[in-house]
Amino acid sequence: MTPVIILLLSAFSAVMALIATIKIVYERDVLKAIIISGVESLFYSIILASFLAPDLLIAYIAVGLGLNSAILLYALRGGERYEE
Amino acid sequence: MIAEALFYLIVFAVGVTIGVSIYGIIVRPHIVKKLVLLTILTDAANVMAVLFGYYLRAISPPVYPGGSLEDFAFPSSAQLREFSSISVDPIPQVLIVTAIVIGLAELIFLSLVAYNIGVNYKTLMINKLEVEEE
Repeated sequence: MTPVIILLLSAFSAVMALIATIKIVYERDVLKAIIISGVESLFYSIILASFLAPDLLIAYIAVGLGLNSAILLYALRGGERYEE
Repeated sequence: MIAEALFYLIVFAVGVTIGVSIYGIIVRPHIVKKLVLLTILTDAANVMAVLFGYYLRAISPPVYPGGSLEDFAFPSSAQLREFSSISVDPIPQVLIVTAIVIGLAELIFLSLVAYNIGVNYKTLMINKLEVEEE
């Protein structure tokens, strides 16, 4: 049986990821949105680790936090930073 | 009881995240913000697939512990049944490893398209792009 404290940690991470997503939708600075998306990916990694998928945890830390942010920053270099 | 309630809360939060990211992709005009929300949609769908393969009674990741070499290479059916009663379903996790790689390739392609739009048209907003008439 899964301990309740791990499920509590996962529920906290899921709710924080939801809040981060809503914050990204209403954020005007796209650079801040990219950084917050890295934080959101970190919360999802916590959920994956507590739901017994440690191989996906390794892949997500590398891809979601590192590579995705770098690629999106490269795409942002061409145009303007602020929305509207 | 409280474990099931927390599990359904997690499933609900991840589902609402999928909905919010689809809303953001449709509504927001900046191309890079659309890409950010697309990565979030991919992440949320992957976490949802992991949640589908999870059992609340599981205590072990889907890695067979083995023991001696003969136990590891030729386990008896009783041992396999005992292992599958304490571990999670490995099929969604295997599929998600593929999905991560495909999502990364797709993101690189769309980022190059967005970068070229920004260099050639001097803007990344969808509603400021204009098609040149010949």
